[in-house]
Amino acid sequence: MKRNKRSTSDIISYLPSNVTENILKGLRLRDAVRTSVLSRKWRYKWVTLPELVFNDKFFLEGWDNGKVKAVIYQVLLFHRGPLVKFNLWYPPFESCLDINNWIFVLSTKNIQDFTFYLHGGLRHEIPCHFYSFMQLRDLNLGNCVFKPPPTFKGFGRLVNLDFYRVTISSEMFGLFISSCLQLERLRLRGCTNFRSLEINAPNLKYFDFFGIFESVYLENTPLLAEISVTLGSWDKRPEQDTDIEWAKFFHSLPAIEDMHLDSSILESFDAGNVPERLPSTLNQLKVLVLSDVCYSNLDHVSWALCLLRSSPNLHKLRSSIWNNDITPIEDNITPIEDNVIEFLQAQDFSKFSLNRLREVEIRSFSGAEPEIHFVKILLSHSKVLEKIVILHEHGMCAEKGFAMLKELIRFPRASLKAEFIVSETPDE
Amino acid sequence: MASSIENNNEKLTLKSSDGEEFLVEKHVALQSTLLQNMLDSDCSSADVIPLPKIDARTLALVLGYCKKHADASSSKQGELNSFDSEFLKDMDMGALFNLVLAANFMEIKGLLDIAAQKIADTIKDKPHQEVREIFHVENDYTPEEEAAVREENRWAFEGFP
Repeated sequence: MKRNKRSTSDIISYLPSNVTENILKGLRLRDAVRTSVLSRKWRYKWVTLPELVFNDKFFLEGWDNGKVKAVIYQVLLFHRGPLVKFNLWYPPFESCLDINNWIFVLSTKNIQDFTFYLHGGLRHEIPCHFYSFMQLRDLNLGNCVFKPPPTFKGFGRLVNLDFYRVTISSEMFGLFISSCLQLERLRLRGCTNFRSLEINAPNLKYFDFFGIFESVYLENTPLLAEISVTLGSWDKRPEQDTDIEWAKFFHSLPAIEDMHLDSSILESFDAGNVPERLPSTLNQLKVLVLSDVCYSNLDHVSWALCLLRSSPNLHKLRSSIWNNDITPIEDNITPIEDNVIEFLQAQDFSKFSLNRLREVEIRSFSGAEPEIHFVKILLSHSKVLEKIVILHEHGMCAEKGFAMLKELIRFPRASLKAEFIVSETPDE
Repeated sequence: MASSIENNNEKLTLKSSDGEEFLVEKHVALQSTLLQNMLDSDCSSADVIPLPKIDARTLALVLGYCKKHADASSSKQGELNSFDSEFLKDMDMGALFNLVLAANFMEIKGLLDIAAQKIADTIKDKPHQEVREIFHVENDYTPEEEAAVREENRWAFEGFP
């Protein structure tokens, strides 16, 4: 009887305030604000919301920029108390002074998680009062200019930093990162062309880079476990001469477990002979991804072999192939391929063992001789291989595909239980 | 039955508001920050811990959740997610409120989050009249006051009756 009575009474209006906050947090801002009309008790429950998220679900079609801004002003005017998270995600308007006013209002709210992405147009210069957000743990900026005042001492609690198309000077960036001692995750995509990218981050575990730098120094990254580096921009492959001392680069990755290198960075390692193996073994490396590799390029193939030789505990190898027919250099193809095959045939594989390699995936496989040869090497040295996936390039004719398949399955395999999967490369 | 193995260090006994005792493995109990703090502060695990606000039916659900999450390894996140969504499926609103209050009291963040989200999902996209009915919220606004509140937040009511 008692339970019956309870279930028909108004429980939701009398929940502890943090439970109510948790419920309101699970609603879109609009729905949370609409609870104000339920009853007098609910009129101002929403104003202490711990999170304010203005995203595509918030910006209604048919609202002009003036309306959107007016609503953001109003929400901030009503909001009371601390705010854990503020998120302004691709508003319909471009850089404007209102944004600085909002950031000023937020400066008293102990924000921990701040996300602000603008569409194209002028990059928005982050105002100086933002650099006093000392509680920040999570910072995500897009299409902004990050230019802290000289007195800025970094965000001491910052754990996660994601910059997308952010302008910042190379020197400033190095100083900024080295002052964020708690930083664990760093992602930079399409930012400034860094002259010299210096990263001194004793707690960094994850680093993802897409963009341009002339040189990179991972100075103090003893915990870095996951790295991904692609040089380039959305418009073109890099033109700058990038010159990276590979010995230093790999030496600064003692704890690396998961490494994704694009061929663009392999090409930027200082010219000269690629070593047979690295001076220091990548003992922790479990996953190696090499993307846009051209297997008829001697340097690419040499680096691939060098990294395999230097990674005794590798579990998983993934590679995508940069197809020649995208950038045809008709005259050169045949002799280069011959070079690679000669090189591969001349290698001493007696000490080459991929004793832990369980999974191989190769994307955009064209069936060219050097690619086939490379797979043959993998198959004959991977004793515990469980699965090899060959995703051939789009539009490969059945005849060619069948011929390729016949050749591949003919190869001796060190692991008898390895499952062989051949399929078309799915669209990204 | 619970008292006979009370001294086992790896287990502790919880007592619901309606007097039922539950023997719980320590690692399962640690899903609750409240219990974790009690154990850390040297509260003897031989004692029966009373939970005067949580009835047996709710406590059994809470402990089922804790056991699943304590036993699953971190690599099985997908499995846990599907367990979570099944866990609250078809639960009536009374039971859901008991659960959210228990999770809040025992400080089990994951359970609090999913139960609160389930309640939020019931509210979202519904006109407020319907929300009032579902949760038995009595409208104590005068028509003038209600109109004023709507006016105050007019943008949020666009497209709603």
